[in-house]
Amino acid sequence: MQRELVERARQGDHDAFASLAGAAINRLDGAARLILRDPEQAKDAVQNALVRAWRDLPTLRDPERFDAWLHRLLVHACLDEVKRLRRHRMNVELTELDVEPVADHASSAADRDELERGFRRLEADQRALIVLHHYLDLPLPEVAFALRVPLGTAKSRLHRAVQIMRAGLEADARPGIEVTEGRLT
Amino acid sequence: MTVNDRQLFEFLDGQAGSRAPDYLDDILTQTRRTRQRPAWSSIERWLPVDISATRAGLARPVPWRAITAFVVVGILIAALIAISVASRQRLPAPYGLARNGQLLVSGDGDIFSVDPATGKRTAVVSGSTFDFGPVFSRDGTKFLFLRGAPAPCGKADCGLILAIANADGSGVRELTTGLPSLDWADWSPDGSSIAFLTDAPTGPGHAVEIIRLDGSPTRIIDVGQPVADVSWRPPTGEELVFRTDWQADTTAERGVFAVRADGSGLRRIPTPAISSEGDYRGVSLSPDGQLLTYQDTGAKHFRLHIVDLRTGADRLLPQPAGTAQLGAAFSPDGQDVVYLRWATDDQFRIVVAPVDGSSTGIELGPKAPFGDDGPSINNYGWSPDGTAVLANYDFERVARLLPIDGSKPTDLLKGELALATYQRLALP
Repeated sequence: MQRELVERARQGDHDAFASLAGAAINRLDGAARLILRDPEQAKDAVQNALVRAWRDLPTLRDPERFDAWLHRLLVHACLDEVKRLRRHRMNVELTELDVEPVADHASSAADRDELERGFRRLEADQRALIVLHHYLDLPLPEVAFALRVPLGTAKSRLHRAVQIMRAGLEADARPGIEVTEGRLT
Repeated sequence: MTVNDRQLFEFLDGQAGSRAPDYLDDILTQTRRTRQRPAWSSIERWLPVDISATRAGLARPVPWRAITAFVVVGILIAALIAISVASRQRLPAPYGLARNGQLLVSGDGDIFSVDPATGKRTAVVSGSTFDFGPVFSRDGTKFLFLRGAPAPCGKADCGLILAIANADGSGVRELTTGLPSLDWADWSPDGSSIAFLTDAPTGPGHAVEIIRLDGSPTRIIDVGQPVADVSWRPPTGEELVFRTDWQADTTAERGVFAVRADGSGLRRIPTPAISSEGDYRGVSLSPDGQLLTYQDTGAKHFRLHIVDLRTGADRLLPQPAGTAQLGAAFSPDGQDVVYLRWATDDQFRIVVAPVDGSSTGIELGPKAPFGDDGPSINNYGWSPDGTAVLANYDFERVARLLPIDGSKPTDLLKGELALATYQRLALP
């Protein structure tokens, strides 16, 4: 079904593209909000990604790769947003997301706060890795494709990003660490 | 606290929220006003056309016009025979080393002859049409190129026209109408036909279409599954070699195949069992037709294989730790390959390395990033004499000549779809 829609959209059928966009926008918006931590920036990134998807869809060689390709466009739209703001020397702060309370059966509120702090420690490209793999559930080859890096690089970067999160969480949880003469005791 | 995958997903899912975005209509209003790019405008679509095996020159010897009237008829006939034989001999063999002839480069919709020593360029095909991607025939007497079909045509993508011209740009002839799915193109060894990819008559993806220059009907070779990377098998061109494009149809049998030009004799070329999704991409053959290269994804990175088609032996080319290697093409003498190396800095570079695997080769020219649709270095291939590599650096929109002795590269032409081809001339 999706393949047929992609084929039609590649031929200029805007209704087919509207169906594809409608089916994708929730997860694109969610992913962009996680990567950028700002709903307005996320909106801009999703808009840029979808407009570009429509414009460049005829150049997509393999319709089966539409989702992976769209995720790649989104990630790069997000990273472009980060660069754009840096270029304009705006002070980008990681803001609290305006998130509706969501039932969380697996984690306590405290754990969620710790995760939030750990997640905030990551750079946007590191958050993109985590989001692609752990939120959009993309296999690592697809993550590598989306980020335009070799598979091995994607693996090592993901490992590093999770390490940073874990290190932050463990540091938060570790009481009474003192620093004496430059050494942890 | 330690974090496992499930906790991480639940955290991310909670953070992302479940509200439906309310700006879809705004986006669709914008897309409705946005014109789509034609399919052929993506440089990735023109990945390694065999530049080295395309082109040659028709340089006729000086005729014996000054022969005096005193020469006897027998001697004159003998001389004419000698001239005739010499003329034929000046056409290069379709594969192997040759002399460098004319260098054609496309840019911004025109095709130019470029002198790499002086940078002087002369328009060969120009005008209101958008022409690009010249590829010389193996005997160098003519070149094919691609032409954007006139728009509007009642379709979103009017496609491309396959056209040919004589080596000097005269005699332009359109061989097809606008074909939205036209892709790849390879000259037959004798220059009488061109094989290219077109829409499969049944199912998704591409089939091979062969067009003869004498105007006889085209032939579509549909092997029942999508195909890619088609080329004539050297040295005779009795068979076409291709891989199945399983990404266009996940039910396709994955492998490298050969088939005769009349569509008969389909056979599988023995290669090791696949292990991952990237296997069998980048199929290319050595000038003697005995070696085949392809890439797989290995455990982590793209790797290049060399298969000896006489024995079936398959080996890997060495590669530095952490790098990926892809898209190899054999040198005219078959001793080296040129390919792309994707290094740990996420940049691509051109590499020339020995086929025997005795070293990891030398890197040529500047680095290039990942482009919009893939590597931003494309359409690379050898000069006929094997001393240089031609490549398109799409992120800079430049066609570049890279001597393999490591000397300074030459920028040939800057422009959209800057693609180069070298004419082959017979060796002295």
